[in-house]
Amino acid sequence: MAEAEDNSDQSARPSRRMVLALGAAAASTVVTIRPALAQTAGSVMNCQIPVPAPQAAGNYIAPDGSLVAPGTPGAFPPAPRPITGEEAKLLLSGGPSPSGMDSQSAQAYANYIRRLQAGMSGFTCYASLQMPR
Amino acid sequence: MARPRFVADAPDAVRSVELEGLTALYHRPSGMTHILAPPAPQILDAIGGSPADAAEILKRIGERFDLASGEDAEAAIEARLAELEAAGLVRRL
Amino acid sequence: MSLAHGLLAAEMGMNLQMALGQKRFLLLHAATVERDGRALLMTGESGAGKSTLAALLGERGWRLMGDEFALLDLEGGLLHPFPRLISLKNQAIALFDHVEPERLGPLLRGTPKGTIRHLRPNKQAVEAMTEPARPALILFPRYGRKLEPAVRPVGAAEVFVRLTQASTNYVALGERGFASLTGLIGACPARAVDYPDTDSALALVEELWSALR
Repeated sequence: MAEAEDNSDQSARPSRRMVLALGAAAASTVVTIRPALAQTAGSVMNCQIPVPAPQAAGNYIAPDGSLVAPGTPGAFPPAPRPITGEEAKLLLSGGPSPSGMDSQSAQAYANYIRRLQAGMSGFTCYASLQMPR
Repeated sequence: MARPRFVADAPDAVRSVELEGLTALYHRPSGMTHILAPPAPQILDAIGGSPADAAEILKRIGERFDLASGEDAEAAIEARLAELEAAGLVRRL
Repeated sequence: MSLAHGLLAAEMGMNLQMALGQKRFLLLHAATVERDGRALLMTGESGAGKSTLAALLGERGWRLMGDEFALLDLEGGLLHPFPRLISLKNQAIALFDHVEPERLGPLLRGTPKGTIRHLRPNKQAVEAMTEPARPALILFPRYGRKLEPAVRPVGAAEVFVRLTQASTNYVALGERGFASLTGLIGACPARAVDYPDTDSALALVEELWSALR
């Protein structure tokens, strides 16, 4: 690391020891580890994401993907069927809504999927779509 | 208009290991693992226990490091904060 | 293959399920061989020839610990064996013409993966199947007919990410998986190895192994 002594500094500030680059706006400095892809490509695309997860059955989905009480104004009811990995991949990259779902609720479901955490049903399916291969 | 302030989890919520200049970080609340490159870990340290907006974070970092010149420093901090937020490692208040 | 081997395989399969269920091991897709109590781990994309290399090393004084799965003990950081039948494919089959005939299965032509012949691990490997070893070196072998033999270092963070992708249960193990994997990387140098033929590969392995302190 670069030593940078500031001899002209009259104050008691300690000399700065390291240079830190802050990175360009488009730089990527955080990589999140996702579970390895399923053993066969076919199974990844067929895996399913229920929206919401069974543990949260009955909740509605707000436009930003968070779970809210049923009937909350502006929120959408649960997806009529689980979303497959293939459909999620398309939807999340700006593609078409899964069949049987209108575009507004599909966007809410997409945001829900983006918020999935380890331990929640569908997380492995979603995460396995993300890691580069 | 007030800029958003960010908060990070307590130090014992994460476990980190240095891997040749990069940081492997296990985030206990989410069970997720992330690899961070500078300045992301330094930003997390700078937030520490006290919420801060991008300007304040920049100031705190500037106290410990020489910042490479010629960048729009606040924009860079904001971009890093967006990444950390997407990873669930910081939240806005 | 013999009934005895079928039973051995079934027993190992059950033990693996139990071991994974107990969350005692981090499971890695890697071929492993052991010498003097220390283990060499070879991992990377399938088709890179790791299984074949491990099997060859097993015929050249190394103990074969496993051709596809390695079990990393979360408590002590030792690698545990999983020596199953090795599936030799196509050109690799001829490399094992010299082994004891009773260790070789029938030649199976026309399978989806080409011609296959099963090879049973040797007596040393089977007898030592409950003996772990301390991991000492991680290799990422890459085979290519036109490649020049070469060795490159691999950055620790890259090794970490690749090993999470080579594991089927890393995420499920949570913090213990993280600690175990970072511990493995801290303890082992890692190298990428390019090779155009098995003789070069074996020579590079021996060279890298003797360079370890």
